[in-house]
Amino acid sequence: MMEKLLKLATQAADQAEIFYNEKTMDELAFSDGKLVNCDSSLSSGIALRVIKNGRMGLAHTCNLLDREDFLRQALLSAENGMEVDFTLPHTRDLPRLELYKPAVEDVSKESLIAAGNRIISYIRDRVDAQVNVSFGYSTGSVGILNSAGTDLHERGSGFFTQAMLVFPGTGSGLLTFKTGRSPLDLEDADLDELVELFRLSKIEIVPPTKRLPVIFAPLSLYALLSRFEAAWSPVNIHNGVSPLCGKLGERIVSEKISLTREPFDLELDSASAFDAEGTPTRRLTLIDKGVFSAFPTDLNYAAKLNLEPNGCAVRQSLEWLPTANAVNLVLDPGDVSLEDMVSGIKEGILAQFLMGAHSGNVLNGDYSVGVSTGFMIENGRITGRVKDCMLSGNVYETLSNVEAVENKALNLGIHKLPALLCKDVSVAGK
Amino acid sequence: MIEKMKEMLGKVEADYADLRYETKQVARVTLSKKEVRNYGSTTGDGYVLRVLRRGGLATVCFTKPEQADQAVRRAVENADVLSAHQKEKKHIAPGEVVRATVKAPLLEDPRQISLQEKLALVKHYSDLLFAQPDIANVELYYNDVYRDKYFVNTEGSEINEELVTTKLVGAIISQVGELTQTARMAFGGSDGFQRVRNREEEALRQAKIASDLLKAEPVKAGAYNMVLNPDIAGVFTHEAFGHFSEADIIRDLPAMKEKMKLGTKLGTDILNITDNATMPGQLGYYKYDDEGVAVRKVKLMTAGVLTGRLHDRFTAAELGEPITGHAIAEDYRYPPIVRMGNIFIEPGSASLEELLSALGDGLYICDAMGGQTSGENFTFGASYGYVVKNGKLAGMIRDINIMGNLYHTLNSVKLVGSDFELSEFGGCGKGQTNIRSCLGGPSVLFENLTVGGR
Repeated sequence: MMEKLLKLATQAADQAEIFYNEKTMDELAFSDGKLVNCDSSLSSGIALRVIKNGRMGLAHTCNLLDREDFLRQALLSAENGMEVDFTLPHTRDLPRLELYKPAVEDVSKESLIAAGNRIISYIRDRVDAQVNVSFGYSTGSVGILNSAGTDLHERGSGFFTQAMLVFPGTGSGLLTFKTGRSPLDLEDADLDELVELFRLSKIEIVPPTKRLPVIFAPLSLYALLSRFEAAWSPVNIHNGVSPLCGKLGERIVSEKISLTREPFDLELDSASAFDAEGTPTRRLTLIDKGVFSAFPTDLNYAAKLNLEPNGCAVRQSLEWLPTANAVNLVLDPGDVSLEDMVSGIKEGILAQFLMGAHSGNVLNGDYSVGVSTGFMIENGRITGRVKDCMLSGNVYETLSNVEAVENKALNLGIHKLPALLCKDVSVAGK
Repeated sequence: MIEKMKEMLGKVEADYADLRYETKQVARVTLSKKEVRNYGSTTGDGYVLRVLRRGGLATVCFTKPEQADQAVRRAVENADVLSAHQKEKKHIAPGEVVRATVKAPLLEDPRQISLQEKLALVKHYSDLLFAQPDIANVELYYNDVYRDKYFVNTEGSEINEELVTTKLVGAIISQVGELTQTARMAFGGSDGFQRVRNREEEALRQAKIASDLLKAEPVKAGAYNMVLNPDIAGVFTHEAFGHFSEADIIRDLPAMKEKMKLGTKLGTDILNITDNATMPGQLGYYKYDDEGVAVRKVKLMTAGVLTGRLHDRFTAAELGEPITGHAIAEDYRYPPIVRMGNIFIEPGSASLEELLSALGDGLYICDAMGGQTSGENFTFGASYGYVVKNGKLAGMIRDINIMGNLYHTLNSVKLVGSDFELSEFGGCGKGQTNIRSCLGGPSVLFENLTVGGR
């Protein structure tokens, strides 16, 4: 079916590419200790990209009912589409990654319900709280064919488990989770940590308005990394609007920061031997001991910027053209445990979840975010949960002030990140 | 289509089941720094099946019609798993059997306008904005989304409703040296393409704001009294209060359910909040929700007292409250969840001068730049604002993000303006994206909100 479409598209356009995917997903969720959801989805889609007379066009469908009509849509899109000057790659002989673990196919809902009930009882034996638990597991495949002869296909699996303790009378709380390619359990040690922090969260503290040291826990780092994402986007670099324009080779943050895209780390969700355009992926260090050393590119912007494509094309959905972004990032762990970070702080904040990260002057690196889950640290210990607290700054300034990097990285699925201790962050409270 | 769907649904053995099928066509033109980035249209379609068996409600979303039998089997299995393990059984609130075909109420149908004409219009705005002082970049995103939704249920409802949404959104970026600032423009709605034509004056007003922001001072961190203009008061209403009016959120948070009982006084006497998606012309207009229930106006808060809540048929049954028609799905890939349609604070009687005079010293905050809710806390960003001294606008300020807490903030509404505007941008990302979530209201004076800053 795909071959026929490709043949037709190759005859009508100068270059053509078909990207297709299929995914089966199951979810099971407990809310306040009760089983509430058990849902499934079976989804698939096809995107056809063509290049004709130097312009690029795209069409998307879920059900390929009429090949000719689908191709017409793509050609119409190319009539006034983006001007491009790149050649689709001929990719073959890639390493085979073990992205699919058959154990996911053997997961039974009954076993997940038993696991969920165990987690709930374990927590409730120790603390009186609303406990939410969820599981998700999936299998899927993606494939790319193009007019240059590329014919790639990868099959993968995923598993996710999470427990949340909700602060009384609110919707925010504390999370622990595990993500990978085959079934995983939350261990007692993970749950003990959650329970301990929950006990400490009963006291609510509005912090003072002043500059304080802040520990950014892994999940809160999204607020900072999203600023880099905008700045190292090759579109913004090409348009000359990124603060990182012309900064390759320069120190942009603390030398304690090294950030690498690791496409072959199979524990991460987006591990793959090829990117969304069929370019082979490779390990790519974006920040090397504080120095800006590379940025992600796709075929289009690599050509515009006269660079080699580095296999970072992603498709946010099949309805959109591929763009470059760095996923599967690993931030190198340091040498300080989270406990030691806390015990070394006289007055400060441990931020776990931030909200409002999408607003503000993102491209400039500015952030001004609410702390939805965070803790007050006084004299080396956590004394309570912060409320009505905002953190503000500029990512380049904040990450130049890194005092310590946690000695282990947490697998978030999208990235692996340790906690960072930064001094002199502007805190708004009382 | 309806007959084919009834045939699929006929294979389900259940106490209740419904099936939604929809096609979604998106025409898109985007321009970044005068360069075309996207041009074309994409199509998607799919099915969402929901099955209620012995108190277990399960959903299966699927793409291909040949997956229907598999989807039915899975939905039945999932519902049985839930039924066997659930302590509290799900019930569905009674609803009317509806047979209806609803066309989108359009003045100018975007589906009849060529992509070339759409591109020409977007280029026209781009050229206009680039000609303004200090403007370094303009990013424009045009799209029209046509959803053709079919709904059948085992009670006999058969509904086909079209929703057509037109939007032109722009980020206007000014630059001096290394400093860049952004202002936004957003035109659009549920009633046609005319919404994005002839808006040059407003586009130019935003270009001037982007330029003026280069000279504005960053706001200083702290707690302030402030007047919010209608656009940002709307985001406040949506983030700070609206999400807690959604019954599925409250249902899943028992401790909040207790605090949010109807009849509870949560706000000041002057605070009246309504969700009204039936108002014609506004972004959030629809007739039937994704459970086939006709949407109705809901008075959520009256004189500071909780008087209503937004529901789907299952939350209404669980909480013993009336159905409201607020079960909305993003598209064919998702089951419906409870969503706001068009939420606003009812206007009061104060003029802007009276609001600023009552404020005395504080901030006047204008135009939303996104918001987020987490638990009872919320944040929202503002495009720009002014320091107010003695009731008069002093200097312009930038980099404004505000944080608050549901319970405190509703009690900090001190005065409500007589003006009233509904946003053409709207939108909400509660798990799924709802591009038609509309919001707005009057200008409002609040006491003691926290502002982040350096």
